[in-house]
This record gives sequence, C-alpha cells and structure tokens, in this order.
Amino acid sequence: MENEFYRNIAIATDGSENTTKAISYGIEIAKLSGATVHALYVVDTSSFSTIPMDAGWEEMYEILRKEGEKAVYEVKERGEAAGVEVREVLWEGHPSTEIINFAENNNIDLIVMGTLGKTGLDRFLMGSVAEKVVRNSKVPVLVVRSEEQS
Amino acid sequence: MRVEKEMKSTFFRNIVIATDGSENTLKAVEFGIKFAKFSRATVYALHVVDTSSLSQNWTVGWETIYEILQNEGRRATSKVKEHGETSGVDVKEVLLEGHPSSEIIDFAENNDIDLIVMGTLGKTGLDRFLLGSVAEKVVRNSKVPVLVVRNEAHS
Repeated sequence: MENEFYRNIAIATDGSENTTKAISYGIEIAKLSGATVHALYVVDTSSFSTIPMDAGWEEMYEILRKEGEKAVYEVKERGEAAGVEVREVLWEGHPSTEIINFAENNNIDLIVMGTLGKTGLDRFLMGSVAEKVVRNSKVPVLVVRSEEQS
Repeated sequence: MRVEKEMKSTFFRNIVIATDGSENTLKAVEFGIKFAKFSRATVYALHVVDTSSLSQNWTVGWETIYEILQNEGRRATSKVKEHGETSGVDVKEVLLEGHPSSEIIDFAENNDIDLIVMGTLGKTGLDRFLLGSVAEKVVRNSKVPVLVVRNEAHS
C-alpha cells in the first residue's frame, strides 16, 4: 500500500556539495517507500550557448558531460549502499526546464533537489534552479538546503 | 523481514504540514500525511493567522476579523488532524500568528522539525506570483527541507 505512494523519485544533482544533503534525503525516502531513484544531471548547454560552436564548445560540453556522469554515479553508489535501485540519467538543456520535463514525462512522484549553485556566493543565483522548479513543476518538489550556506 | 523499529526514520521524526485551509493545501495535506505514515513521523498541523495582512489602522472590526481568521485556522488544522486520525498518524495542532512564511520557518527551526510540507498557498486570488509566494519564501529561507506540493487544479 505504502509503496504506491512513491514509486519513482528523481534526485536532481549538479555534482556539487550543495546536493550532498539532498541526495541523502532522496535516498532515505526511496528506502522508506521502496521507490526507484532516478539520478538526474542536466548538462547546462544554455550556459555556453553564446560561445561560438567552433571555439571550445565541444571541449566544454565534454567536461560538463563527464562531470555529470560522475555526479549521477555518485548517487548510484550511495543508493547501492542503502539498498536502493538507482538509474542514471543524463540530459542536456536548461536545467530547471529539463528537470520538470523529465519528471512530468517519466511518472516521477517526487523531485528531490538541493539548492544548486555553481555560480558562487550570490544566493539569488544559488537558489534559482530549485526555485524555478518549485514554481513550475506539477510534480511535488523537495528542496534541501545545504547546511554550509548561511 | 524488517523489524518495526528499523522502519522508523531518523531523517523524518517531526513533520510540519503548513495549511491555510484552502483547496490549495488539500493535496499537500494528503501528501504530508502519507509521508508521515511511511516514515512514522509526528505531524504538526500548522496554521499562521496572517496578522500582517490586517491593517493596524482598523479600529472597528479588527477583532471580528481576527476572530474569523483564527476560527478558520482552527478549522484548517483540525482538518489535518482528522486526516491523520483516519490514517493512524499522530497530529498535533499549532496555531500561530504573524507573517506566514517567517512563522513557518521559525516554528520549524525551533521545534526539531525535519521536513516542512506545504501547498502553493493562496487566499489572494488568481495571481500566481502571489499564490506561490508563501511557499517560495519558505523554500528560499528555510534551513529545514521543504516539500512543495502544487494543487493540480492550477495550471
């Protein structure tokens, strides 16, 4: 009965420390409810769309892609340690849009995310991906703030 | 075979379900109760009487309106309690007053709350920026994890 509640949980990760706590929460919920975790990383191609295709575009893309692979693999490892099934998913595009698209098209019952922030100290920017997802997602969203921030 | 004790989550011992009593919170309440059921958490059904929206200049009618809002709040939290009772979840009712997002955060941070569940609260009508604003403010400022459940009726 209870397993009907959360069958699929998406944990959106950017591979940074800001997501570490969110991953723990997501895996805990999956463990409690018996759900499958989808570890999702979105290669943010929107952030370098202004770079000319010929100048370093592919290198940049490769770097981010590798980073993404590492990020989702980390979730998988942590899931395995907790006895939770984790599927690795790598998408590309605009992070908040793709997170929502993924969730709405893959029967996701809950999105778990940290306050993502690769952009440094600006907390408005830091929270922006999570906030955009909260604002636009029809799927429930759990936002976990990293404790290091103030 | 899992022992019952192991099922109890150390992550989610105390959950706040913030309710404004409107239809926007129905789905969040349902969600929060189910969540509490599988994590065996205690639920605090929290309503904040939004005194920030009451103008200080009203000399006439202030108390009446305050009464109405307070009664509405009690009804909202008792609805959550009823929900919990039918699911075997322990629900404690909490009525606070002040600025909703600040009070929700303060309560959570000072009462060992592990998770805040809330809908897109909205008594203020169709404006979706206003509709979401309480939830968004809580998400932006709370150190306690926040689960936001949008009511499907809105598009």
